[in-house]
Amino acid sequence: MTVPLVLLAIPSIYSGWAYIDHVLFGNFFGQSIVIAQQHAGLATMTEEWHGPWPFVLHGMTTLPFWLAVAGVAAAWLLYIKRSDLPAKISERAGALYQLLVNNYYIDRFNDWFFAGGFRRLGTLFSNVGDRSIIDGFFVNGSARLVGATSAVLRQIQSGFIYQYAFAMVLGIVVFLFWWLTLRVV
Amino acid sequence: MLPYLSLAIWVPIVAGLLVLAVNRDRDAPAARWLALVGAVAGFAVTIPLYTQFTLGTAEMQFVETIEWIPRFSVNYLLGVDGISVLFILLNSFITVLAVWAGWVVIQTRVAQYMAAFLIMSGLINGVFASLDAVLFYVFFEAQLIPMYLIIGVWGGPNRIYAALKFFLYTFLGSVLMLVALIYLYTVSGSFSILEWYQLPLSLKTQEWLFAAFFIAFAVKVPMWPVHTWLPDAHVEAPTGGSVVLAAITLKVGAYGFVRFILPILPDASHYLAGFVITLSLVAVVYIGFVALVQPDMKKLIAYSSISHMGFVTLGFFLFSQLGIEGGLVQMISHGFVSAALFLCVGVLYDRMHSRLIGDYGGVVNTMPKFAAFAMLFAMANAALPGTSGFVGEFLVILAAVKANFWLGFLAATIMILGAAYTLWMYKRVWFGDVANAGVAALKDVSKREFWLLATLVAAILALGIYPKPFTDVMHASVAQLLTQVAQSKQ
Repeated sequence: MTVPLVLLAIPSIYSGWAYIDHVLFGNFFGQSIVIAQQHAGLATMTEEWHGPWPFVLHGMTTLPFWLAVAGVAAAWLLYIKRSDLPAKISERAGALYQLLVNNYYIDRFNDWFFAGGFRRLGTLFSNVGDRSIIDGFFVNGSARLVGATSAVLRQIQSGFIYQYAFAMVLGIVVFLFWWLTLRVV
Repeated sequence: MLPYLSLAIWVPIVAGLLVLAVNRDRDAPAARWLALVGAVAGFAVTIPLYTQFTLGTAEMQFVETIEWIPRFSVNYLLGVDGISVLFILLNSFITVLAVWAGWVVIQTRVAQYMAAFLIMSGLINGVFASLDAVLFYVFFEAQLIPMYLIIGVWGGPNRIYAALKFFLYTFLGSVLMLVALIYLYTVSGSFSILEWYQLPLSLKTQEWLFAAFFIAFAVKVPMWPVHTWLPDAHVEAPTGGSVVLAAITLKVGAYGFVRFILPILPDASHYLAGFVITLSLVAVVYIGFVALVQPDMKKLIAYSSISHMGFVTLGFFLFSQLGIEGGLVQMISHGFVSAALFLCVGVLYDRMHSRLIGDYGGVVNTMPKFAAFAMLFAMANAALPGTSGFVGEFLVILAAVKANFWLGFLAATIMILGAAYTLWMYKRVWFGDVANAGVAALKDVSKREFWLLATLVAAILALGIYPKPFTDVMHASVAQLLTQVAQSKQ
């Protein structure tokens, strides 16, 4: 891995050094990038710009640079000089260490809330919406209703002529009653 | 000029009858070859419909008229425009694949199986080519029968329930459509669909007719909440049946919207657009969630189909060129992608006799070529740019955002949910370590399966990378449709 990294580092340094003037403060992009009047950040920077070398030197006097150096130093201390330290620190830090090692629990939350929530919602729609309401109640329910109604109605169709005749007599009685009593009024 | 539309209808039907007549089951290979020749011939006669199609006009082309029942002015009237012609090609193309897909798996009643597909192919072409309402209705109903048999005879253990449910659901819807057709005949004195485009109708009348047509086509698409026949039908149907069901028969419903509802009932369409859009969005979102939790691969893809078809109806009712063309492209794309996904499930089912996601895992280790195919189809289902799935969804989302931002926002969730359920299924079935001895013993795709899937890869990428040959055909007809929808008929 070392060789590819070195090979990548060389052009990074070179291109930054050689092209920053032209790209950032020259007219490299022409009309492709238009900067609005009110966003004067780059103009201010142009005034302060004195070339790459002063830029690097100035960078070394700022806090971010030294924080980065401190990071390199800390990494060297913890993983090369005293590689027993990280285990001890993680033991001491307890909850803080757990929070960091678990990515502030963001992944865990996403898994539970979004992925799990979507699955629970899907299960609800599938079981209650599709299976119980649409299929169970409406589709198969209407089929069952027809079946149940027919099961009751077919009792009347006994096939015995005397029962049918009796039903006809009953009908005549009802009609006569209606005709003689109610209709006269 | 040859009567290409009649050929597109009758070549497969006659081929199907020949397969039935010439072969008994003891000569299965001959039945297969005859069916394949018939299917290829059926596709070949549709190619001139594309090559000789005149671009830039919305007029019906390849028109054929024969008097059929003069007393009721019913005619054998055929013709295609830029909206219908592509579906005839798609249907004939998919039929070849369906016949080829049943080559080895179907070992009982081979001749009848193959004949059912060929006859169904001709009947569906009839649906797309009919310009006479009675003729349309005859084809629309007749194509139910072969599919009913395909599910009921060659289906899974619960096939009778699924076949009956499929038949009753769609039949219930289409009977109402018949009432609407008869009403339109009584007021116009004609069964010509094109004449109905000019027929003045009051808004109240249009609303009733809308309800009748809508129920017929919404069941067929299917739209939420009349969709529950589809997962059952898919789960029980043999692979070829699922392929045709998803790729073609769903499109018949969506086609009804653009052939009947939008141009004949423009005022009701505008008045009820909010209702249809709401149902479409429910289909996209609700069904997307339902798809996520299906343990059965076929059910998952079936629900995915409903969700994707919700996108089609959404596009149609935005009343813009982008929306309608997006819907049409989505229909064709879904024809390829859903066919491919069902074929993939078929490839696995033929080997393991299970469609449950939980029975698989690590298939990529034993079937690398197959896994590559399945990956591409999964990506297409999730609408990855470069695949056909992206084109239609992009156009519809664009149209939706133009209409209303939140509409576009909800519509775009199909991409997220689509990616979630498709890729999650892919991960559980194909990736990971070999899950069991069954997976360990799997053999990669055969030559037949390889070319079957490769054909669909070519189609999906062609439509995804360069959709112009497809959309050019549609432009003029969609533009005319938009002017028809924009004109009040009251």
